[in-house]
Amino acid sequence: MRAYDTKYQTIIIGGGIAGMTAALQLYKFGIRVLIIEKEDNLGGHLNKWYKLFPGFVNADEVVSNIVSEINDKRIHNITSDEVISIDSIYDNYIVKTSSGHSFEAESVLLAQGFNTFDPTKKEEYGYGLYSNVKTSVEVEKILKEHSNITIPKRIGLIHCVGSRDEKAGNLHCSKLCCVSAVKQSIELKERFPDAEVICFYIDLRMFDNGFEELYMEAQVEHGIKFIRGRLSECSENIDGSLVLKVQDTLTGLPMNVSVDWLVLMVGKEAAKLPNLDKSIDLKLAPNRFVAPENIFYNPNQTSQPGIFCCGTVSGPKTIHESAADAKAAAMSIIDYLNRK
Amino acid sequence: MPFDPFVIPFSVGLLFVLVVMGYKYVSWIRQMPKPQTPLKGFQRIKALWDATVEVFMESLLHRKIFKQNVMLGFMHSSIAFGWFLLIVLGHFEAKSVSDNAFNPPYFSIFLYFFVPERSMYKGHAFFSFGMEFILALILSGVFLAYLKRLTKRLFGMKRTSKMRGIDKIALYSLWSIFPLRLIAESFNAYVHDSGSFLTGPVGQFFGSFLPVANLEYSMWWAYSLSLGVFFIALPWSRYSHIPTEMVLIYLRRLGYRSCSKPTGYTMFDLYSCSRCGICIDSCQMNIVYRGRNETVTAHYIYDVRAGHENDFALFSCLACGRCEDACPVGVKTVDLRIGNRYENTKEFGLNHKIETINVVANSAIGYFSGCMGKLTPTVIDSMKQISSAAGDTLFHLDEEKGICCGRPLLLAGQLKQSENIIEKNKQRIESLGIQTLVTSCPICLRTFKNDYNLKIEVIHHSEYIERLIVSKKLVVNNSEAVVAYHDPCDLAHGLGIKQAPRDVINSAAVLYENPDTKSQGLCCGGGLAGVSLNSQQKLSIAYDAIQQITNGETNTLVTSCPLCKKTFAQTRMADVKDIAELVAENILTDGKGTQKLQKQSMLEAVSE
Amino acid sequence: MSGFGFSISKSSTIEYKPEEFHLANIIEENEPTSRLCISCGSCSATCTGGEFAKLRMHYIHLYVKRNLTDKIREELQNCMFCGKCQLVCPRGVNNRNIIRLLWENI
Repeated sequence: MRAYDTKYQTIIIGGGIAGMTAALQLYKFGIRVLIIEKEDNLGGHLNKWYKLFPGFVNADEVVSNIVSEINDKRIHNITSDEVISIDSIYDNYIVKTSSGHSFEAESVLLAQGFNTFDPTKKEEYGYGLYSNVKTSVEVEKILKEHSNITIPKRIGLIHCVGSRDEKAGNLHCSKLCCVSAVKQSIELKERFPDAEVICFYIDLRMFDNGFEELYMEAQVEHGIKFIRGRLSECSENIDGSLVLKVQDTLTGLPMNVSVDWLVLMVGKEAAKLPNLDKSIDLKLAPNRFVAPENIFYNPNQTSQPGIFCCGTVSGPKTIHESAADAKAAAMSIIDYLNRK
Repeated sequence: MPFDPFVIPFSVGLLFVLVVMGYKYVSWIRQMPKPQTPLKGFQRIKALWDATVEVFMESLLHRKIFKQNVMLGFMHSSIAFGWFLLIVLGHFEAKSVSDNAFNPPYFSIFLYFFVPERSMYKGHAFFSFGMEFILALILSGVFLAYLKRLTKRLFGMKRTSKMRGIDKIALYSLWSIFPLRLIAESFNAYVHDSGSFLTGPVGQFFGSFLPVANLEYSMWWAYSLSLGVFFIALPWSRYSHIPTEMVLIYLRRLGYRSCSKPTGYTMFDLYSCSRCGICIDSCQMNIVYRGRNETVTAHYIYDVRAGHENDFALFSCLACGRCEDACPVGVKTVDLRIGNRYENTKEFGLNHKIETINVVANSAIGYFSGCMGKLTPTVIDSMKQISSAAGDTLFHLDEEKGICCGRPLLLAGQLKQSENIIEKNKQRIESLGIQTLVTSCPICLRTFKNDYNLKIEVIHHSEYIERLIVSKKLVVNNSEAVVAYHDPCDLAHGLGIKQAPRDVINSAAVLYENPDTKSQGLCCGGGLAGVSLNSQQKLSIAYDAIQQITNGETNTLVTSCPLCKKTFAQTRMADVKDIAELVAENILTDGKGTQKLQKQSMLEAVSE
Repeated sequence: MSGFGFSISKSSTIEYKPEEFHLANIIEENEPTSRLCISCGSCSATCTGGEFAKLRMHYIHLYVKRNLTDKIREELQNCMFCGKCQLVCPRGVNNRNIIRLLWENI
């Protein structure tokens, strides 16, 4: 959309699945919204994913469905623009972006999503040093673009990289990496049928419908190996393959495994928030994600009236959980606007 | 001495089959152990007579097959009994025309070739008619055999065994023997203007357009060849069952038995199987296999004889015995299977460490709950309630630690390992000083009875409860609830205990039984003999069984085996209860025991 | 890299080379449910033989998968083949068949 208004009832920061779903829900109730997205396209992280668990649905399909609805309904949105500050003025908010726009909004919905952990902080895993160490995000790209030069004979996936780890600065569990690892191990095995795929885990958090069944499918039909234990060190051979030193906790013995690729299941961290002026009191949880007012009664209202949150900005969620959360946030906003 | 070169195929074949089968039988008999209870004197003579009658009734008339399906029975008996009559009557016919004391066997078979002038026979009209009537009977059976290959259902069979290689040679030659006999004798009748109601007209028919006189000799050759080929193929085909089952009947009557360890007797059992395929329909493994059921006896024996048996088929058999019950020959299929497992596996080389705790029981009745007991504690609890209500004390042998009875190892073919455990367990049991051993597990019960040689009485817990009810020590209230009962394989097929559990159930509830005979005696699928079956496969058998047993009439299934209980419970299709639980729920407050309990609870109430 | 002057005894580290683990491959091929084991320990908890001597079915799984084959025979000594391990397994691993295959192939 080229022409924008200057005043909106709700400004949604972030044009991912949560932001877009909330926008569509608000639109149904006649609320005028604006989505501000910092990347070049709407869609958020979903644009990068290949297939979604547990049913291996194409991420592209999910994104394009919802983006085309946004366009059909001509919902205002700006891309390639990042929100840099939010100030409060009387009952409303002034939102300023990096390209110089300034908008006034009666309410703001935070939907910036999450950042992935940067594994260079765990240098013993060799990311950035050795060429065959990749993150799970990079693997999605490889799978999606069918790009790849070499065929690995053995692939290791390490769970909990940057999660549940005091030394990485994140105590929390990122919830989705376990099932992503299972999913990616199946996809890698299908892409490289002769390869051996091993997941090195601490626990296997298969919490949602179909996840445990996916795990069993990975074990039986694809022959994926699951070894409980942490990777302590990773070193590189001359040919670029990696030697891993892990503890096999179930036998109680240390183990040496050589792999061609090492995939790090990077955790999810809180997204960067825009600058907030001093009168705005936005409380964060200890894990730095946005803290909802009350997780039972008011999960989408932040500690600052008029500023709402939905999606992974308040903690790791699956895609359908984010979408459901977004609809709930929209209803909270409508209620707020009506009472204003 | 009458002779013609064309009799050579027949004669060679006959000699061959007699020598080969004879040699086999002798070598098997030499490997047989003596019967456990050998017969003496008059018993032996009676046994031989009974055996002869049985051979007549089963091997010739195929009475059991008639019971299964009339068409099938007629087909088999017309050919078998008919052929027998042909040989006997033919022998007398030959006597009527020849003065020699001994004629070679081929003489009566090809009589009309050697003595075509029928008027030379004493009573030729009678013989001709009789022989041709029998031939017509046989031909009707052969026709049915052709038909059976096309429409199995007419014969009451859903599945039949397939044939390969040497079986086909034997079958086709068998099928051609009697038509060729008809043609040869008809041609002969036409040429010599003889023949009765069958060969006469047939001969006329052929003579009207064929140079019969020139062809007659070649027909005799063809007839002889078909016989010869059949005899030579017989020892390696399924038709070796014909002579073998007759020998088997005699051996059985004389007291020889099969057992889990293979002996010479096992070979008789093995080769008496005609692979008729009647067992196939009864096997529940049909549910597990999509195509050919490789586990069922008929197919498994074929694969063994053909040299390509497979591991899964050998170890997936549930040893339920349904095939054994269906077998018209009475082959002991379960023993065959276990014996095969014994031969095909290495010794496990186990060395069990089991503490022998020397305890003396506090009662004359011991209760053994078995390995599965701890996993079904409601059964143990119910047994305690029942016995105390009846005023009995049950000494629970394996309350704290228990050893397995040893049957699972036996079913896997590990006979020596099983014997080791049995010995240790037996010492424990005998040192206790009990007089009766009650067990709630039919698997343990069967092994206690068959393999332990205990001096004390061993009964199933349903029999114990029945005794209590009959002697009025326990009074049970009938709740009028409708329940279905599943017969555990080891209890019903293995030990014949079917009525006691039913009587017990009838005192506490209303028993529903599916009237369809095919739905009776089904295995739960969880049998310990099914080693290579995985849980999904077992569950598919359980689903099918529970649906047939309850048949939509009730939501409660009662069983008397802890393994069956656990297997059926997994289907989530009904409430599964053990028979002890059903009774315990319905105990009337009567009998000395419950009065004691009542008094006790009153005291407790007062002291509070 | 040989030990830094300390050990004379064989290293206890497992060298994970599954292509060379022949026993594991045989078991996996003949009994694919062996792949389902998650070492929860339900089997060992209920084991009949395990009440008298050391017998832990879930350890046997691990020994097979890590090729520590010399430990298997000792661990299996007391097995009575009763099948309780299989009956309680939450994932449906066919333990008895695996034990039988092990005895055939050790």
